[in-house]
Amino acid sequence: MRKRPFFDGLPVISLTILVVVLVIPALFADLIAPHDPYKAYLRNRLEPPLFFGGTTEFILGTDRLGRDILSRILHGAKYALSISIVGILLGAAVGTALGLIAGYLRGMADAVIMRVVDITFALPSILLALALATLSGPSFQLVIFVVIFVIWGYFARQVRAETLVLREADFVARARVAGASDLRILRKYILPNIVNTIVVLATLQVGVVVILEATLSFLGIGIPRPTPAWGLLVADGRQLIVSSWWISFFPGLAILLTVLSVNLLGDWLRDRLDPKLRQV
Amino acid sequence: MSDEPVVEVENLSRHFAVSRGLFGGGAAMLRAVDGVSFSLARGETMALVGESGCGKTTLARMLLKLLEPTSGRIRINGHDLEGLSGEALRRFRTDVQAVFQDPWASLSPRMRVFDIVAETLVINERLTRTELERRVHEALTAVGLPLDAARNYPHEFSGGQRQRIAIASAIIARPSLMILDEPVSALDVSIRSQIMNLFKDIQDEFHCSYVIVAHDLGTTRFMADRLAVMYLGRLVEFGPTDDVFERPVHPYTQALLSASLPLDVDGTHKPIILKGELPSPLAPPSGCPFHPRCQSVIGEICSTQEPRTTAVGNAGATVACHLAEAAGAPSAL
Amino acid sequence: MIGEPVLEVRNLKTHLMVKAGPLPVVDDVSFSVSAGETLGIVGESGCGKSMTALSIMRVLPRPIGRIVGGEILLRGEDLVSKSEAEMTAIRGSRLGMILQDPHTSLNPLHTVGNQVIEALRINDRRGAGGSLPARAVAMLKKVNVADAERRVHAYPHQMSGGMKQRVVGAIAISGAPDVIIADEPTTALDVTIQLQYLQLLQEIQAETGMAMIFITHDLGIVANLCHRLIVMYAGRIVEEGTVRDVFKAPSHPYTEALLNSVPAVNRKVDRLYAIDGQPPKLTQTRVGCSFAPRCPYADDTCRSLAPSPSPGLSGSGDHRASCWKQERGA
Repeated sequence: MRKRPFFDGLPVISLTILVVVLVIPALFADLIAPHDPYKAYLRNRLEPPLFFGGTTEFILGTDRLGRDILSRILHGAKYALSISIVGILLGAAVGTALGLIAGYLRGMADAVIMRVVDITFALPSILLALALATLSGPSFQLVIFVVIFVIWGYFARQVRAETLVLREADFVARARVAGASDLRILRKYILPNIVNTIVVLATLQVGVVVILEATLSFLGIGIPRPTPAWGLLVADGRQLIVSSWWISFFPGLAILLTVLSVNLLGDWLRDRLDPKLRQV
Repeated sequence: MSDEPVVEVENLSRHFAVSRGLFGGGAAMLRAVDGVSFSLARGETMALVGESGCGKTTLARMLLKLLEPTSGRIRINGHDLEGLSGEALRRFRTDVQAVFQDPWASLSPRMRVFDIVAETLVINERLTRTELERRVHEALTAVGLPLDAARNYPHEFSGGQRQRIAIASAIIARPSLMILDEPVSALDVSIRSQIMNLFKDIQDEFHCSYVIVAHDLGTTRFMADRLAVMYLGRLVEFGPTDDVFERPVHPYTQALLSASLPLDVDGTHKPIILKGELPSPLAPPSGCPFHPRCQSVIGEICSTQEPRTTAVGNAGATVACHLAEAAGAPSAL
Repeated sequence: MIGEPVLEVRNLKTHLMVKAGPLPVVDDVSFSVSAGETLGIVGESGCGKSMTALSIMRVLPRPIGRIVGGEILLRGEDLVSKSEAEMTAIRGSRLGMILQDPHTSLNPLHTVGNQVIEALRINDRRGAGGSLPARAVAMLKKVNVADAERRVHAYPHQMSGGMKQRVVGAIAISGAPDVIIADEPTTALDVTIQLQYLQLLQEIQAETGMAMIFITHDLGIVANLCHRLIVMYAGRIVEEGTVRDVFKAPSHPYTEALLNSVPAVNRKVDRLYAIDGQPPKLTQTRVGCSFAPRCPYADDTCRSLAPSPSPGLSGSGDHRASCWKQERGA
């Protein structure tokens, strides 16, 4: 028997980590979090985690104000997940629509759309976020906007490239012969054949978005305090990183696990869904 | 049945501007199809043969209105394809159908067989679901596929079966003309004859005309009533298939026919081996485009003057060669 | 002139190791080819004809292709047991190969001259005969590349498919190989160009006396080019013999059907002979004769027991077919 490059359990492990670290906390944080994430237990400030001299009361320790790290991470998942889902759905929708138009119509529309993509890739997203935050103040909407801005170009490029190939396919010529309109060809012949690509790309973007959200929050231009977004949690501990490492470490670990497992899952999905890699 | 030809092509040309390299340097003109005229009677089959770059595929695409001609006209069932719109265009889209070469590329992998086969009717006719199902079943039966194939996706079928699906979707709207672009060349030898017989059966049943683009001359001989031989965008010989096969007039036709090797082990077949390569269609030779490879050049006229299309015999056959012109036949056009 | 056997393949078995299990793509195939002889291998896609060629060259798809049994003897040396390094030396010098698609057989980044020179350098056993560039021009002239002095500086994309295939041919014969394996070398070419190429192969063979294995699905080419042929179906040889014997008296129903189903160029017929059904999938477990499900003559024996080759057809020891009909008749 042929050896497989990865053992088959990898996607299962990735998915399990993702569900445990991201999905369950995001949906049920109110039920499973042991404490109120905003409540400051002033007498228990800077308590170390269990096994490092702490107690079962605060398993992952507390921060400077005595807030429970575990509860804050669990509640933070909500923001990571909602920003990923909303941002990627909107970014993918915008990118796919413009990619389809560029690839199918070619000519002027193609040139304009692809130059806009080039420009968005050339603009540093952090600076854009800084500028916008100065104008309107940090907010959830601002983060979503920056996410869309950063990722739509990837979708547009990939969808355009595949559309360029598909529009020349014989089954599209047959559809034209049958009298199908451009809209029908895009909807029934081209889009269904690029859905796999979009799904894989969207999965791989989750990692990018989680990091982006954390970065923006860390810099104080993302989700405003005192919301327990993961990036803010990491930022909270940065002055105490030597003495009270757990404040930054555990939110950082949550980010790492989420991004790593989402990327592994995306790679696996790409190999599974790519018909070229599936043959024989 | 009327006597009106199903296809009339008059002086048809299609040129493409081809840019040269990164820094332009002026665009070259590719004359993919250049001044082609012929007509095809109802219920007959015409074959377009020739080598790569001869323009046969471009011509087929113009007949399907997938490409617009640069000049000249195409009439199908009496209607000029130029400026076809509204109801007339809708009728054209059900009346002319196509089967392409590669059955792996011509069916969308994401559609069920039912939707693939029903597409032309769904787009152009308002039918009830029951009526649609009846028509799909009728088409699947006509091509010899089981009815439960309708539920499956194309990848569950072999090449031959996929080509049957493509044929079913082409015949469902009962077209009067079908354009077959190399319909069997991607199939295995043992499957080819099944599909070619099927095309014959369908023609008997639905009385449609075929224009078949082919490079395999055996296929052509079997399928076609009329043969059109193309070379570098020009129609060099046109006539009844049997006549052209038995008495080819144009030297290119003679060479092309002899290049198809028969299953003959006695060594009686002596093919005409042409010299030289196919010229680039971007820079066709002067005069008669075939003259640099021709085995029967008659003189300077071949390289300086383009031969006119000349009628030969009385069955509407034409040939474009100085040899035939010199023989004193009257000009056809 | 046909000389002694150069390449002998004995009981070759090649498997593709896929997820579903080993696929027997070449199953107990034996044949030989002699100096100056052209052996045709015909069959449909998936019959194992290309896999046989790749097995001989030892260039099976990695990592799934594997020779699991048999011998491949090149002038008595078994290629199956050779190391990869030894095979690299043998390929291109003693075995030449021409593949179907000339557009992917040449490196687009180098001039055709440099690619021929590279092949000459690798195969420089004798080392004599003038400078390498001059010999490259001579090689191109040998394969009838017109204007060879200029073309030697051309890049592959500046040449037509037919010209490129000639260059591929020049590279294949640069080491004066014992055997040249041509896998559908003219399928991508236009018919008039194909004819020129076949003539070239014949001329080169007459001049060098090399053995040639010509893989094709075009029976017309076999009739006009090959001396002997083997017909493969589902990984096995179903019939073999001289082209004359097999074409005049096809003895396996599959060969007969193949010959009958080719539409004739020289006469008009109303209906083509068609074989029902599809070639079997190699994943199916095989019981009996692989062709039985499509064979008009099949009976219970055919469906339960695999036939073995019965020799001595057409009054010659060379003409064999694996069919129960022949065993019963003989």
